[in-house]
Amino acid sequence: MSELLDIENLSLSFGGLAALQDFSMSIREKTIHALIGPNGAGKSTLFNCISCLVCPDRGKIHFKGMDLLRVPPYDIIKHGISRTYQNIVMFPGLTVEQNLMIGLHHSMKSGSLRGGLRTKFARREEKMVKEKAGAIAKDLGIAEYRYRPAVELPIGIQRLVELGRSLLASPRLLLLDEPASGLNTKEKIALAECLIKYKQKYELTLLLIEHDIDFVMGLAQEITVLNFGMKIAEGTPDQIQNNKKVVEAYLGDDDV
Amino acid sequence: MEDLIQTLVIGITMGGVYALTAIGIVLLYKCSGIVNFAHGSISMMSPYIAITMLTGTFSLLTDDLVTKQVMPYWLAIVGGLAFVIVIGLMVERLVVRPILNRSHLHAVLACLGVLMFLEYTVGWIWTDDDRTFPPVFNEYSFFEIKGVFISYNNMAILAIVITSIICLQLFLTRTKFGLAMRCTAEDMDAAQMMGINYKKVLAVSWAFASALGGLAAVLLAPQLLLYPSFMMGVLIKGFVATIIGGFGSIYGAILGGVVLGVLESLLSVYVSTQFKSIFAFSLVILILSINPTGLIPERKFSREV
Amino acid sequence: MKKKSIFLVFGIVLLVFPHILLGLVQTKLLFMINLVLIYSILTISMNFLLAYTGQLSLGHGAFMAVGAYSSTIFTQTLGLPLPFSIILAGMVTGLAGYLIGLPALRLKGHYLAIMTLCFGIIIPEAIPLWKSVTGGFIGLESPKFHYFDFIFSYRSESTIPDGSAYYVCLIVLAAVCFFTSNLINSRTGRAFSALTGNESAAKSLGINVVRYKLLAFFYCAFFAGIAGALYAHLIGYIEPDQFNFWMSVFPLLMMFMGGVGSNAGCIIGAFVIMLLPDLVTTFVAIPNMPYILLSLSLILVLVFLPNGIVSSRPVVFISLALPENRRSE
Repeated sequence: MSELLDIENLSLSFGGLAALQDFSMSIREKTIHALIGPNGAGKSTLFNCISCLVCPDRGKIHFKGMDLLRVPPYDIIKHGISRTYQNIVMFPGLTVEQNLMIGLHHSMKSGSLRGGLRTKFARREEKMVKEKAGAIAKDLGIAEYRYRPAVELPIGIQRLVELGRSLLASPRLLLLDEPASGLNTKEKIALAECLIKYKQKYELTLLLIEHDIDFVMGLAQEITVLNFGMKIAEGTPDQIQNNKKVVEAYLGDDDV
Repeated sequence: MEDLIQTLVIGITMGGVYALTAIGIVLLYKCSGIVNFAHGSISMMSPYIAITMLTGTFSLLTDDLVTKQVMPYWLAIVGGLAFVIVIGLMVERLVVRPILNRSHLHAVLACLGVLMFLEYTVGWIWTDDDRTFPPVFNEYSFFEIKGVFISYNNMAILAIVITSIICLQLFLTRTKFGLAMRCTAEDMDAAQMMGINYKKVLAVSWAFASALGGLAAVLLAPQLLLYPSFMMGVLIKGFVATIIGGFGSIYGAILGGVVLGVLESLLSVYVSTQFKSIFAFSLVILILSINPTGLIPERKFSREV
Repeated sequence: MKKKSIFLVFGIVLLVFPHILLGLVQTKLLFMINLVLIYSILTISMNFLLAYTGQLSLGHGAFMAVGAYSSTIFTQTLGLPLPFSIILAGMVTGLAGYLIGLPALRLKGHYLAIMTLCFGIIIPEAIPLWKSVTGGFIGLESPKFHYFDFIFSYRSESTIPDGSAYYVCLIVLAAVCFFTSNLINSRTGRAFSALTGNESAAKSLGINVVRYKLLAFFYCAFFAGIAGALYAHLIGYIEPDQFNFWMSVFPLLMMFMGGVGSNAGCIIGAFVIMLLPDLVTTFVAIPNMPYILLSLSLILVLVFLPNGIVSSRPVVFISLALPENRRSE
């Protein structure tokens, strides 16, 4: 298995606050890799760097051997990186189906002219995209919500919609920002099964940020721990569980 | 050299009046969060009411101004300002506040509606014709310093502008209510949690803004002639001033107003009067393209996605 | 099947309408109806920009002016055929919109509104300066429509151009409505909804936000330019004074009166704002009263009917972006 994502010495500061300090990490293909750490450790910042929404001060990111930082944010998805968000992003005014269909935006070819004139090409493409969206909705078990406005649905369903949207983009690497937050135990188990299923089915690599340690321990094959923007530990779930530094970071230092 | 100083003095004076309008705009923006397009029309009513009180009639023929004076000049001006303050409070209470909760876009539209309503109503009651308005001093009395001619009127306007700004500043910084207003302007929600009566602050800010606008209108009416939409151009220049100085602060408004006034004055004397507005607005576009928050930056904290 | 027959009836009414009008009422009304059609297009263009980018344009009068002058110059001075020059005028205005969009991209809410306001004031003032081409303050004459004259040949000379113009404006309005409503349920429409919802997420889904915003400016200006061109050929002459502040404000009022977010709302708003004052004048002879009542009713509508008169489709209200400390999240 080769390195899919290679992060080297990434540093980023916001004003006086160092969000990431000399951070390095490698993710192997077809693994489930988790990123954990206390709040404010810099996890979401890292995702934003990978998505090229934010530019790091120093460092490199390589994806499939390519320099990612040179790619504009709207092309990231074309190269095969898809993501979800901590506070779910459901576009208001759109139904579940339409939200899903946006996942295929980058692979569609109808522009504003064809769309506005409703040419045969545009109509055919719309139909095809609709079918694909319907298929994945069915697969995820949310087909009954297809025509409901996405923002009105409960969080559990919204997370599935977001997952479906990011899967439709046929990514190689899927970034999940706290996918289990807001879910109850039953939903979490279902989500974990779902992720494993899709990882197998689409040969995905998953990188997820999570706070729920149990969820992570059961799911991830490799874990990286962040605190104050720096990597403090890395390894298999067992190794991390017994790592003193990790325990300290989460529970705080005993001697004040 | 004397010409230059004269031009500068006139520029600063006009700039001061623009600043009054701009301060009104900024005050309302900071406390209510909306851009009040009706500011000019509300202000416009003050000279109309002043003249009506002065002559006791609605006809406002020029001769009447000289022959019929039922009360002293300054009393009429005060009356005009008082009326305008009441109008401002009414607009705030009846139109803006109910809409504010929905969307600020609606509030802005509502202000445009108020603008239309006031302009046409004034046009109905007092007719659309141009009126003359008596200045503070007879326009043609000058005094001279080393070859520079400055009219008494000009000095009076400058004095009034400076006094009002100082009064406002003292109120905002030295009084308890002024502090409450500044807090609300910074963070409305936090201010409410501190026990500040947001409704009172809103009302007072509108009262102040209307008073300042009305004062600006009274000072400009002699020069621009009185007709229902005479403050429209001034209002827009007020916007320009706030943008030049940065939409966020009163100091910015003052700075922007003075800069605009001086630049306009210089341009009209040394280049041509034709391009005055084109220049002003091109300047705005330029500033907005480069730095949207003007010369004095609004404090911003960078946030992540 | 029922829907189709309603459409058919509606279509026939629209086609026969001017003849009925001319037969029953004074001819000026047909002219006003034509203005309603043109303002509908203008309002729809403004609505397009607002709904798709959340940006408010206060300078639509400038786009009208560019479209009107372009088309007039293309037909009068360059001798191009009418339909060609109208579309070309639209493209020119679209380009202007694109150029305005470039600096406007970085602006939020009220800043953009003020910038468009400035453009709205500058362009009508700048146009007369280029006397040789634009005819200065006197303005230019513009050829009227004559395509459908044969239909109206049984009427008197003076009414024929208005009748022709009616069909032209109707067709253009229908085309604009067709295009914009198709766009909503297309890939482009979804992209716009996404970028107004969350720009960063939209980018991560492959949407080039900058390109789309500029596209919105282009289309908005294109339609406004077409409206301007139609306006020029309807009235027969254009001068800078016509494109003043009120021309920028009218579409705004119409949009909110009728209902933001829907084409039908824009059309209804145009009807109300254009025709109500005239209706009032026939009953009440007081000067200015129509506009007083109009502004009053606008205020009332805004306070009590926030979704406008149409109030039908769920509308996504995009509030002007406010400084961070104003958000309640």
